Formats: sequence, structure tokens, C-alpha cells
Amino acid sequence: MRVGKLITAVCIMLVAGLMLVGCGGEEKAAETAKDASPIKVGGLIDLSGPTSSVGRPYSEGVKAGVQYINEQGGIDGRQIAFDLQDTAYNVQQGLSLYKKMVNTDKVVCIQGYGSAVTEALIRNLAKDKVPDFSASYSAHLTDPKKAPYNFFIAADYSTQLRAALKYFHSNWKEARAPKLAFVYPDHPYGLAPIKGGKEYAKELGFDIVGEANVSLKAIDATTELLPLKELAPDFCWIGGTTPSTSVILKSAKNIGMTDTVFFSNIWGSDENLPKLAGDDANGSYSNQAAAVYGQDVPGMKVIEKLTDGKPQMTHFMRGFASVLVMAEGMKRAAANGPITGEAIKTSLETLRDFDTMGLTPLISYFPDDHRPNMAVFIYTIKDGKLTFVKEEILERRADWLGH
Amino acid sequence: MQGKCGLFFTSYKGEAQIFQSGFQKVMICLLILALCAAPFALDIYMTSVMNLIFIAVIGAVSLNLLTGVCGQISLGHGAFIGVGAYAAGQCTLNGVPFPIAILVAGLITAMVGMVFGIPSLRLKGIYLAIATLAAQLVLEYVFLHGGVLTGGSNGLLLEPPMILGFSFDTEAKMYFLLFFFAAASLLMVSNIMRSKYGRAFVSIRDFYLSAEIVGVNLFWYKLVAFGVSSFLAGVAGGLWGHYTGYISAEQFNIGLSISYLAMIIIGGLGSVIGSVFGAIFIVLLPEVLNAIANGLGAFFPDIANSIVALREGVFGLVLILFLIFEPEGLAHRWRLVKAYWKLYPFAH
Amino acid sequence: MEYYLQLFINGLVVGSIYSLVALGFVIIYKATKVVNFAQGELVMVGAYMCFSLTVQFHIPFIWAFFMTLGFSVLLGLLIEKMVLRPLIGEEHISVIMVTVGMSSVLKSLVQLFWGTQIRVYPQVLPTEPIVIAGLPVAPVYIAAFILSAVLFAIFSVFFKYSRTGVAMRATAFDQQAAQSMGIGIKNIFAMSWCIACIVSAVGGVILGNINGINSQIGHLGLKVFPAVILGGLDSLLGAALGGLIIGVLENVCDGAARQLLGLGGFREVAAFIILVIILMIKPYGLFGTKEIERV
Repeated sequence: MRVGKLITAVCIMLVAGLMLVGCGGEEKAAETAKDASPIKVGGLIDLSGPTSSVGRPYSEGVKAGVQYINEQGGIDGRQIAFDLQDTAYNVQQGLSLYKKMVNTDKVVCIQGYGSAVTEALIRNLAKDKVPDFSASYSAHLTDPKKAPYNFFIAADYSTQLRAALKYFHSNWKEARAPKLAFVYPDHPYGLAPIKGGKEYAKELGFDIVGEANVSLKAIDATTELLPLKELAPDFCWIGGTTPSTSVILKSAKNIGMTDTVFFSNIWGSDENLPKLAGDDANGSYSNQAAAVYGQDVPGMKVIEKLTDGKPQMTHFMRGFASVLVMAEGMKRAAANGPITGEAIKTSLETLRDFDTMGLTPLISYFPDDHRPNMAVFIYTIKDGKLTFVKEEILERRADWLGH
Repeated sequence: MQGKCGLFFTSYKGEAQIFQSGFQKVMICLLILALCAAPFALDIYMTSVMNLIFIAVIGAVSLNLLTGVCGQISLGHGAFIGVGAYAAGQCTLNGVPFPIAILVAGLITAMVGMVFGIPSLRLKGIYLAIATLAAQLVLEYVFLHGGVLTGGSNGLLLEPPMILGFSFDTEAKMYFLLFFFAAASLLMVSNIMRSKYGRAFVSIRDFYLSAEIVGVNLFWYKLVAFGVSSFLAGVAGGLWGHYTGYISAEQFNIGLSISYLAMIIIGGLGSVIGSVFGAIFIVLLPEVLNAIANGLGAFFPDIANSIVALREGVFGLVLILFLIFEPEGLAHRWRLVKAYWKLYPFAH
Repeated sequence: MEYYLQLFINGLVVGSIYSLVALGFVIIYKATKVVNFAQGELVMVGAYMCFSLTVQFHIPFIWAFFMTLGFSVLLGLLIEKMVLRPLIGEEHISVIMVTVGMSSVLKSLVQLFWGTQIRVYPQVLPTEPIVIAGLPVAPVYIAAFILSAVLFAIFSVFFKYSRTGVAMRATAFDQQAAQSMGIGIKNIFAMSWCIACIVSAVGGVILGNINGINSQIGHLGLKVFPAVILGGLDSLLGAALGGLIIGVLENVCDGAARQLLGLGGFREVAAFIILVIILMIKPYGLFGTKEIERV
């Protein structure tokens, strides 16, 4: 009976607490007129759950970016107040947090993350007029007709694939057509760039020999790769995340696919890949959109100071750059009036070749085209380290917009 | 029936009423009035939380009908909700009016549910749970590979519901629509429970061998349980899809099934009011945890990181604690509290 | 044809991982009739504990391995006493949900203590692949196969011939009769959970050697269900064989689905479709004991 009384008491306290929380929602948001009140930015990033291994470094980068901007005096004298929440790869959670941020806390901009929540928010963002910088680089988010308030700072997955294809084709020396294969997970993230990639590969003159499905959670890819081995592709695209890329590289090495050059997506290769795959990772290529820690670019000095010289993953740099772009949009918006979500969106669309201190390729947005750039950093893994190879730039073709 | 002293009935109809005493009837009217007035008093965020609670109530009460009343453990509820969402979405995208789309979604889900209920003919207990787990995973695969039907990996974008030209595009308008559906589903399940079907379900749960001897056709009633439960799950899914505006295969995973099971366990197996309590509890749990994390974060900034990792753990811990200390759920606790107040200061 | 032979061998090899996990599952069910939805998370905890001892405390691998087994015993005792004992006699659904809750708690505890990033495991086995019938197989899989065979042999002998093993089988069969014969069933339950945790830790170490560890490797626990259902929930032989058979069937179905139907990624659901078919034909699996209901 004592336990029962305890539970009853706890329930009553919870209900009372909830009512207090509910009543607390009457606070009014700070005025966004010309004053020194903080600019509210919301963060919806996966800090726990399946993608948290890259979500955490990304969120650290975003926080460092906010810290940097605030240390530089903020935007027009106003500090950025960043509220980071964990979406835990759960759409309901993400939606609920979004509604709280936009309606109760009155944020003007959101630093988002994963595709599940970002896709679910497209409508709401457009309705509430709040721009969202996601780390999900799906091509259809670049079409302002479908996703007017979505931005991101890396080239979308399809553009990245196309750029990598162009790089390999331009370096192809032999007379015959190079053979290409695709390996990707049966998942929206993996399926997204394949169609556009295949079309452009045919256009360039690749010979597409085959494809395979390797799940993001696979622990072995031997059976999927065996048929590809027979077809002996010269290049093979891996569209997974770092753990599955490591599995694929190791299985490929095991079955003897040593003549194939593997190249992976932006999330498929980071500082963890050489650790997981060991020697099998050497010689593989990857698309990246941000510099690697310690690379010789102007922004690296700033980051090294902020992190006390502790190495960070490339996702950190991308999160940092995302804040730099957002801050530029806010600065331009502040020059024209109050900083609202709509003003930030319009100012972002005036960015032309904005330089994120060298951390990413130059970024431009247009009112009818939210692709930040058509450039990708090609990296390779040499001696267990991510090594910069080339920045491959494509032309901004209109028929590629949105897919 | 724990009624007050002196409450007795002179007709069968009187005894079968859902709200039996005058006090109960007055209270329920006041509750309805309060809920109708709520959107005008609460801010948009709280209204959106209430909307999520309404959808969860529909899902929870349908699962309670299947698992709590009829005793068929189902781990596939999340997938059935997904079937409803996709069915309703396809209907509205093809021009079917919203109320009919919801009905059609429910019927399609009921049929799918009955197909996956066929194993219940031969399986009981844990084996049935595993078969429904298989249903969950197979349906998830179908969602991802449904091609044009489900939008495959891109999902479907849906418009807010529209009835006769009136569009429910704000939280407050959706509130009333969802309130209506939640109340209707609660009423439906209460009515089923006090009908012949409800009594058959309970007999299957408790003593299925005796039920068969008495003449209850086990297979037929189990199929009906699956069908009705899936119908309501489909309705919940259709509403969810139109409320959020975007559905994808990832939203209807095993985690959703587990959270619905948690709702009915915490609320109380086999009771309608338990489903409501469970739904409220599970939907509010992350909000409360966030509030606590934010509150503590003001004093101990480093705790925020740890609390984030703990959110899933707190869900599991709460579930375990309820199963150990309150196995009959919040509904039981509610009955005890009511009895205490009703009989104060006497113990009996 | 050679392709299918290679699929077969690869299936056996990956299936041995499933067998390892399935063994732990069946040991618990055999003794306590509890279906453990947290089996994958127990594997994960074992892997993380060994990782922690080896990499963070720099203890040589062999000692770290045995210390991990020791910790697993403690974990098993803790789980049994705190979580399972209060639920003795409750209905199926409560026990299932309590293991589900436990899996969430274990997952978040791992995230709390070890963070969310991917951890690389110390490589203790040689990495040169051994070629079997034209298919290169990494030694870690051979080790998994041998280990699951050895563990299966040990536990079969244990359950059949040792006093404690027979006592465990008796408890599973009829708790009241076992108690009236003087068997302390609380000790039996504790022991079965400890053994299962040990087996899971071994599985976790093997799994960690394959592709590092992160907080999501617990999903393997779901994959195990087709294996144990095929083999029979309370049969050790069934668990061992079921894992291998499911590994092979997954590969073959995946290959066939791709070639004949053009469906990708079929292997994820292949096992579960097989599961449903088995359940309809032989609900108690290949080697499970039939439950006879007396009216």
C-alpha cells in the first residue's frame, strides 16, 4: 500500500508540474526590433539514436560556430541564443520540438540535421516562414518550388555523385569506356542519387555494369559483391554510411576486388573509416564538403583555437560552416530591417560565392535554386588519413535541379 | 461495479450504460466542455501536444482491444498504422474526399490486419507475438519498396484534411477534428466491450478452451478482433498522415509498435480509460523529460548531454518500473483513487 | 552454380554469428520460459565491456576477456534479481515488455558511459582470409563457427548430464514440481541468466572484431528470432542449426530475389517471411518440444 501511495503522490506531482509547465507558456517572445535582445536559433540534431555517431560531432561544430559568431560581436550587436535539442531520429519528437521552438520560443532559424525530420518539416517551415539548414543533402530540398525554406551548405547527393563521376572520367586514360558499378543501401538516403547518377554516367560515357544492395546495418558484404567481382568494374560507388562502407571495403578486399576504385558518399567516409577498415581503406576516394582538421585553410586557425587543438571530425567543420552561412544571411537581413525568418531567407538568396573561410566550396543561393554550389571536395585515404585531392566543380545545369 | 451504496438498476439497459451515475454523467459533460474550450486557452505548442495525444489515444485503444481485451499480443501495430496512413494518403492524392478516405483507409487496414491475423489460428502467446513482429518488418519493407503506391524511399507529401471545402490547416482546427475521432473511437471500443463480441473476446483471453467448449468460434472472433483493431489503427494512421503532412517508411517502425504496447501496459490492459492514460503518459514523457533537462541545464550545463542519452533509457526504466510495481497500470491506480475518495473516511 | 555454393558457405559463416546469439536466447528460454527481447543488447554490453577493458584500461586481451565474462555473470545476476524476479508468474506480455524496457535501458546506459561514436575493436585474430571452396572467409567468422560449435557442445552436455543442467530443465518444465523436489528455482534462474550473459559476451567480442562497435549493434537481437523459431525455442541444437540455416536461407533468398524478381535488399525480410511460413507449418520448430494442452 505504501508503494501505491508513493505512486499516487508521484502522479499528482507530475500532473501539477505539467500544469505549471503549461502555464509557463504565456511568456511573450523578445521583440525582434532593433535592440540588443538575443536572436533565437533552434537546433534539431540527432544526439542519440542510429545516426548519433555523426550527429554529435556535427552538433559540436554548430555550437562552436555559434560561439565564434557571438565572440565576434554577434549579428549587428545581438548575440545568438542557440537552443539545441535532440531529435533522436524520431519524427514525432522532431515535429513536437519544432512546434515548441517556433510557436513558444519564436526562433527565427533552425539548424537541422537528418532527412527523416527535415522531410517532415518541409511544409511547416514554408508555412511558418522559418529557414532550416539541414545536414540532409537530398536533391529535392534544393528546389524552392517544393522546399522554399530549406537550405544546406554542401552540394546535394546527386550533384556530389555527378562531380565524382566527372573527376574519374576526366582522369580516365584508357581508350575503352570505364566500367562503373553502384553499391547502395535499400534506404531513402542510398536510393536518392542513383537515378541522376546513372543518367550522367551514361552521358559521360561510362559503362554501367551492375549494382548491389548492401544494408546500412550489414556486417558482411561478400555475397553482394561476388557478382560484381565477375563484372570487374573499374569504379564502384558506395552510397552508405561509414560502418557499411568499411564492411564493403573489407569484403571487397577479401574476395580480391583489388583493381576497383571505390568512391563513397559524404557520409560514407570520415576519420573513422581508416580506423574501422584498416589498410583496406587506403586508396578509396570520397566526396566531402568541408575541410579536414589541420588542413591549411583560413578557417582552420579559428577552429583550432576554439577546440584547443583537439582534432575534430570533418562533420564538425561542416556544422561550423553551416552557422557561418546562417550568420551571413542574418547579417544581410539585419541591414534591411528586423531579423525574421522570411528576411533571412530572402537575404540568403542574395549570397553569391560566399566564402566560409575556406572550409567549404563557395556558396551561392538563388531565389529559384537553393543548390549551394556545384562543387565537391574529392578526398582519398592515404596512409590512414583523409587527403585532399581536388575540388571538382560542375556547371549549374537547370535540368539537374531537384533530383 | 464499484458504484456508491444504493445504486441499483431496474433494467438491463440501465446496467449496461457506460456512464452509470448522475455524477459520472455531469463530470463527462464538464470534461467535454473543458476540452472544447482548451484550444482557445492553450498556446499552439500545447494544442499540438493535445493533437498528438488524440492520435495516440486512437492507436492505443485499438491495440488495447486486440491485446488487452482479446489477449492476442501484437507487435505489428506500428505497421498497421502505416498502412492506414499510406492508404488514406493515396486516396486523398487521387481526389477522394477526406472522410471517405479515412473510412477506406480503415477498411484496407482491417483487411491487411485480418490477413496477418490468420496465424492466430494456430499460434498463441509468444509465437503470435513473433509472427506479428514478422508482419511489422514485412510491411516496413513493402512501404519502402511500394514504388508509386507508397512513394518508395521519398515518402508521400499530403495536404491538410479538407471537408466540404473547409481546410483543417491550423492546430486548433485539427484539434476539433482529432477530438471528434478520438471520442468516436473510444465510444466504439466501449460499445464493443459491452456487446456479445466484447464478452467473446474476454473469454478468449481468459479461458480459450472453455470458450471453445461453450461455443465461441475462436478463429472467427480472433479475426474480428484483428480486423476491428486494425480498422481503428488505420483511422489513426490516416489522421496522423494528414496531420503531419509527410509520411515515410521510417516513421512506422518497430519503435512505434513498442511505444503503443508501452501505452497500453502503462495505462492498463483491457480498459478503455487505461488506453487514454497510457497515451497521455507516453506522449507527455519526452516533453516532461525535455522540460526537466532544460530546467536542470540552466543550473548544471553538462547534465544536458547526459540527459539526452538517457531519454530512451528513462522510457525503458519507466516501463520496467510500471511492470514491477503497478502491473495493472494507471487505470488500476485511478480506480483505487476513486474508491478512496468515494468511500472516505471509511476503508470499505 | 558456384555462385550458390559460395552463397551457401557465406551463409554458414554469417549464420554462425546468429547461432551464437541464439544460444544465449535459448538458454534463457529453456530454463525460465522468458523470451528475451534484450538479447542483442546483452551482446552489445559484452562487446563494450571487453572493449573498455582492452582499449581504455590497456589490459591484455586474454585477461580482459575473462574479466568480461566475470562482469557478465554480475550483469546476469543483477538483471535476474532486479527485473525478472518480481515478474515470476506474470503473463507473457508483461515479461516481453520488461525485456523490451531492459533493452532500452541497456542501450542508453551504453550511450551514457561510452558515448555514441563508433569504436574500433582491437584485432586479436589474423586478418588474412582463408579460402574455402573458392570463397575467401575472414578468420573471425571461422572463430565464430568454432566457438558456437564448442559452446553448443558444452551446454548440451551440461543440460543433459550435469545435475544443475537437469535441474534447469526440470524448472522449465514445471516450476512447482521442481520446487517440491528441492530445486531452488531462484538460483536456477540466476544461473541461467548468468550463462546467457556469458554466451552473449562471447558473441559480442566476435561481433566487435568484425566491424567495430557502436550503440546500434543490438539490432541483431531481432534477427535471432527466425533462427530460434526455426530451431525450436527450447532446443539448443535447434538454436545452433537454426542460426546456420537462416544464414544460408537469407543469402539464397536474397540472391534469388535479385535474379528472379529484381527486388533489392530482400534479405532483411527473407528471414521473417520464412519465419511466418515455419510458424504456420511447424509452430514448435524443427527440434522444439511440442506443448500438449490438456483440457
